[in-house]
Amino acid sequence: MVGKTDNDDVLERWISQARKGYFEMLLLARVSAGRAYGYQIVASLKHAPGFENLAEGTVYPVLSRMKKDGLVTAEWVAEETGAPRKYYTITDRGAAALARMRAVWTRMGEVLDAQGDTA
Amino acid sequence: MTTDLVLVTEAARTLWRRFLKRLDWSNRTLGPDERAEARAEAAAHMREAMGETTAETEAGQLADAIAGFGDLPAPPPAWRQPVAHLVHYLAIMVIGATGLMVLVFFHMAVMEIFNPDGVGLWLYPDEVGLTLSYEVQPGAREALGAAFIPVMLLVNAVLIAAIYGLWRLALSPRGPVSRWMRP
Repeated sequence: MVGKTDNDDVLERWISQARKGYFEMLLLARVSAGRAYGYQIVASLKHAPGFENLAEGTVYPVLSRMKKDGLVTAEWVAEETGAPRKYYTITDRGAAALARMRAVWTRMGEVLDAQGDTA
Repeated sequence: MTTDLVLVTEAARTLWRRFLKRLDWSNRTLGPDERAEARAEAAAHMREAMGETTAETEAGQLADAIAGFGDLPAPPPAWRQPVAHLVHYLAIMVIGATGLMVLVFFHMAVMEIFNPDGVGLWLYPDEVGLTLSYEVQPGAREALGAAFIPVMLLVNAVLIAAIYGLWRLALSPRGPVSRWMRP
């Protein structure tokens, strides 16, 4: 018999894996909504269900990787207060990738629903 | 345009220095430019986050901002990598020497079959001096007789187990010493 704790562990592991891909898509979606700087992206992600306890530092390596992959561009902008902010902007490639991600995500949902219908 | 985090109090500066050490350690696989960029971005993040905390002191605000940023692994103590290298190469020497002993003991166990009078463990009258020899030792008596073969095989089994343990500990790529050797 599988105990409750074991089930929790399995679910936690699954959620962690599922969130990784979802997180990237969510980040890209946020940047596609308009040019944004790191803390702004973090703040809006923390309002997303399931990401309330997001460790803020986890956002930056993903943004950096997206920049390397050409999905976003980044530029430092000196604000009037003197404190610079690094703004991220989605590229055409990033927008195309996001569209593909959304399609895959929707398709996966449909496949899952179809499984539920046949059960 | 400065990308540094400007802090007034020494307590906050100390906190920030510790944080940067951890950040650099987390980004140790990146190049110097990328590490500098990550530092600048972390500074920009902290500036924003510090403005939103309710802490009254600068150090308190920074501590809250760092807590929100998430746990970063602490770099290992500076002595660990050189000690790991030392243990690694020492283990190679010990394993090599022990391996030679295993071969010699095995050879002696085999030779005991062909030369039971000469090969053996010889004990001198003072019962302190011991010698392993292929030949009769004048003034000494053989200690084990026919039991020499199983005893040598048992000693070899123990030595091989010790070699394996040392290999797992100090030479295996997944062992702790190999992990500690990595930057």
